[in-house]
Amino acid sequence: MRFSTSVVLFLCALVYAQQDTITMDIAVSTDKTLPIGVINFELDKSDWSKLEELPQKTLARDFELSGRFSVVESEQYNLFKLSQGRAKHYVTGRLSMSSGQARLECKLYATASKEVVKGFVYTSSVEQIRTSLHKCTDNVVHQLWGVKGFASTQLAWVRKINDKKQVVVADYDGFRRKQITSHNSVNFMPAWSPDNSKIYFTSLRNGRPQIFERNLAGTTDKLLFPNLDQTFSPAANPKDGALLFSNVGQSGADIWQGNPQTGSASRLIYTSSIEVSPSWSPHGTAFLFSSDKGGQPQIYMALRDGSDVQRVSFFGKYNESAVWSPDGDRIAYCSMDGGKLNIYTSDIDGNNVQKLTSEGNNEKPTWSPDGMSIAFSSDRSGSSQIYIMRRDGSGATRITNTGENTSPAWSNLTKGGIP
Amino acid sequence: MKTIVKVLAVSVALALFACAKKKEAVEVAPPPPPRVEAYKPPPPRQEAPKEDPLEAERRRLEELMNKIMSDDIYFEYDQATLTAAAKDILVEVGDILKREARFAVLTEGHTDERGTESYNMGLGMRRADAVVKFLTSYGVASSRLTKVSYGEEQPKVSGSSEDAFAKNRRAAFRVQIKH
Repeated sequence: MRFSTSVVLFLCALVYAQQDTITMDIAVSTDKTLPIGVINFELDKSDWSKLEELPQKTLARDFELSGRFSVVESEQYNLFKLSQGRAKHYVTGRLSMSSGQARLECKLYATASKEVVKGFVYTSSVEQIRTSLHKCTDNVVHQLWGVKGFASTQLAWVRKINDKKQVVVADYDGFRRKQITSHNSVNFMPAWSPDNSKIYFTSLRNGRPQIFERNLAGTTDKLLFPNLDQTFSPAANPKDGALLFSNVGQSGADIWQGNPQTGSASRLIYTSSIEVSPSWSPHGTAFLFSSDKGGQPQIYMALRDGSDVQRVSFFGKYNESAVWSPDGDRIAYCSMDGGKLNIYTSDIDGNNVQKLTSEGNNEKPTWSPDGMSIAFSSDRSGSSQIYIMRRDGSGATRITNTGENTSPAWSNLTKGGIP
Repeated sequence: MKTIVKVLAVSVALALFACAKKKEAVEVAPPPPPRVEAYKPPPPRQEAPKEDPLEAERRRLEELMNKIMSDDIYFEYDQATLTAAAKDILVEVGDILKREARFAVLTEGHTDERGTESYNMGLGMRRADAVVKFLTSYGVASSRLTKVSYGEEQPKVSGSSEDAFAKNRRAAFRVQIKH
């Protein structure tokens, strides 16, 4: 009895702790991660009170969220600690101020020899140091993995502001959040244009669901496809920007494809069932969607013109919100079991199903642009918040802490070289 | 919420009887010149005035509209099939609509919060559709019936209890008077 009471108290303490700190769920990682040391940065004697977070904290979170690394934190160089954590490399550096500009030096070292593998220097305002640190992460990812990381990408999601759903955009780690929509109605289901310059979203502002476009450089929302009755859940083709979306149909909803510039649109998938949640393949030649023509929602795949429809999901009764991985080999989706939604991945033929979450409701997966991580929303802490986990389900980290946050959508990698 | 609906209903009904039949014409036409009669003092009120027939009609229509708008149609979990209880209510609504040929009805489809946003938007459409199909086959002209889905976005009752879920899985009506 005493034991169970203390367990309850312990759990309560955990729940309480989750309310105001960023928590990490240490689940077993099946994918191999590369250990990397992160050592406290040296700060010069300038006034750093405007710095929102110490550089090593930002970097350590970046590395953890990258899906590629596991971090060995150390206040200073400690060969024993780094070796014990099998970190063959470590990152540290120095932050200094000269003539009003912050100078961030980041260096990647080899642990055993303490030799510099690569060094990076960024100059910015104090407010922009986070951006420099994200660039540093991407540079380290490129140095050690030879690919482009996503530390400089963004997430769009839906946040309740004054009890209304609004679309917000932030750095992928949840910092520097900006409100995008402000109409006093429901604004939700955000999706990025291929070049990240626009957000497509659904709004009930005219008394019915309709898709709008917001240019992130502007302040006005443009109604798309005004001749269609009720449109929602937009998804932009990664190559040419064509939108897939749902529109009200005979009974339920159909899948349509439209051009957001010209406003032309045509129906692709139409049955007397509910067809929702279209998601493009990485090259924009095929798409996934959900249909309940078999009774409950299941995931299907079709070619771009709506032909060659094939069922993808066979396990579970309620499979929805499928998104195609950037490499094209896996899909992530959510499935309801026991009344709760959880995130799964599978091969594109539906085999090799892997369950990634188990606590609370977990919805709306979205892949990082390199396919290493998945962002999603979960109510496991008692309120809906955004999390990022590795693609094997390990390392789930909460990136929002207050209010209600749902429906994350990850931005695309911008063209161009490594920063 | 109910009060708002009621106020809406009253104002719609008032608008009907206070305004001229062609709304557009009223909006563009200049204000009419004041009539001579308007300067006459109003006749003294009788002790027990007879109810204005227009007022009585307004009240009758208002009551009917409120009746329809308070008649939510409830659904089973993840279903859009009309239950026997739902059909009983729809017969009453259908009877009113057949009598009051100027009523136009918007049917809203709603779901509870379980399941995904997107699928629930589709499920709301299917629920609204089931109601409209019933009313059409009952003899109400389809031109008087429109439908919309709000998915899980506009719950009637907040919370995650079975009771809240049951009240939120519904189709709701909004009534307008066609001119």
